[in-house]
Amino acid sequence: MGGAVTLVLTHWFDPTADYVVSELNRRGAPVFRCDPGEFPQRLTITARLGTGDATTGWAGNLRLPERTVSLRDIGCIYYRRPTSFDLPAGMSEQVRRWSAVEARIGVGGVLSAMPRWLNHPANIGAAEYKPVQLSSARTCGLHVPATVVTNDPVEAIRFVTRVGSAVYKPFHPMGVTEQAVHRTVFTTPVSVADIDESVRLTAHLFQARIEKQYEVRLTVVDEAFFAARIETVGETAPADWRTDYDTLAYAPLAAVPTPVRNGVQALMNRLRLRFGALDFIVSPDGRWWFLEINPNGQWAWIEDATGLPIASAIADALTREDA
Amino acid sequence: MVAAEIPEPDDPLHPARGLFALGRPFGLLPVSEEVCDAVAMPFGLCHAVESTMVPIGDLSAYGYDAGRQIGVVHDGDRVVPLLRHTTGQTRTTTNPDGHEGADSDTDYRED
Repeated sequence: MGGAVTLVLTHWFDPTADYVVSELNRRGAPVFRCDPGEFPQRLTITARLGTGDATTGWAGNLRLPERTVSLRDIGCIYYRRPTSFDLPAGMSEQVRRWSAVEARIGVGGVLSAMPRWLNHPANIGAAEYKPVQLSSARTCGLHVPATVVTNDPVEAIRFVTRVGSAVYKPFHPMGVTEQAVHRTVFTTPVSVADIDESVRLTAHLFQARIEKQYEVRLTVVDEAFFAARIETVGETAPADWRTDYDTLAYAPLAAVPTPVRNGVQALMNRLRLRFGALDFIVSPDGRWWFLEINPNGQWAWIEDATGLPIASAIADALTREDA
Repeated sequence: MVAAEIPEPDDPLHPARGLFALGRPFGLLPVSEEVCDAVAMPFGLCHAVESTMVPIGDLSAYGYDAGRQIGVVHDGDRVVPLLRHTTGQTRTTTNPDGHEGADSDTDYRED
């Protein structure tokens, strides 16, 4: 391969990444797609650091049976849904753990040293901390609902009493799976009567409930903003639209208010992100309230529903030479 | 940017997010037969709801076009790009960061 190659790190089964790879293919832009999960059995890495030009980094290649890419040819890395290393069978548990750490720091380390990403996994990880998002968003001038993080039921009750109408939000939507039943936690309205000693068992986030006119999913790629209005079709509007995608209607928004645009751009810069999927509530007075930013969020369903050219924008971001 | 302290990995097979986070293929989550006692259930999980898991289906129908580097699916006698067979919207509980949990933007198939 020659020229700047886009390295796409993701599982082979990732239709969202397929949108971007297909766009890059259409443009004739070179792509090397691989999954760290293919290491070490299908994916081979060789990286050399010499004693010559101090301005150059690691040299070498990533090699799959069907194709090879020189590390020096990689322009930008698209971090999508990479999976864990597929270590050979027969390793003991301890050896497997040791090998996984070596692989993560070795392979992950060589790649992490590459200069151009969308987004760098370290920045993704740092930005996923919701308290960091909320305080950063406020610092950047965005409206953020009053929030408390606590494991003290007394403080939780004090907060809910003060704000009048509140919701509980999980920090991460991982849920639990017990006896083959998976349960997920969504944003949930709470009252003072709901709060009990079980708050003490871990950290909990409570937030003032914002009256909704509608909600917005704002997808940002570098300076490109794609806003989609989300409304619930039906009688009951859930506190969290993720509870039932089938009841949602989407429409592209022509414009994002300038203060919101400026605040979001500042937030993205602060969090060192080039891509973000942001959620807002627009209240009846027209104010945009920041809820969260997902630094590696899904976006393809928004493009499908609205025609917003997000895949094209991502392809632009991955192939621009000045990023 | 302030440099973050690097935490000890809690599970090397699925390393802590923020370092070089890796997920599980197809959103495979660990299964546990253990059920938590109600007295030990945190407030947040008391409000958890059962998720509607959308099955991936027969995986033998899916494949990967190494030439185009995209997923494909066998649709009768045809082989078509996978992206034409999904909405890009998923509703899963996959594990993009190596932890045992869902992506906040759920993808009906995975993630």
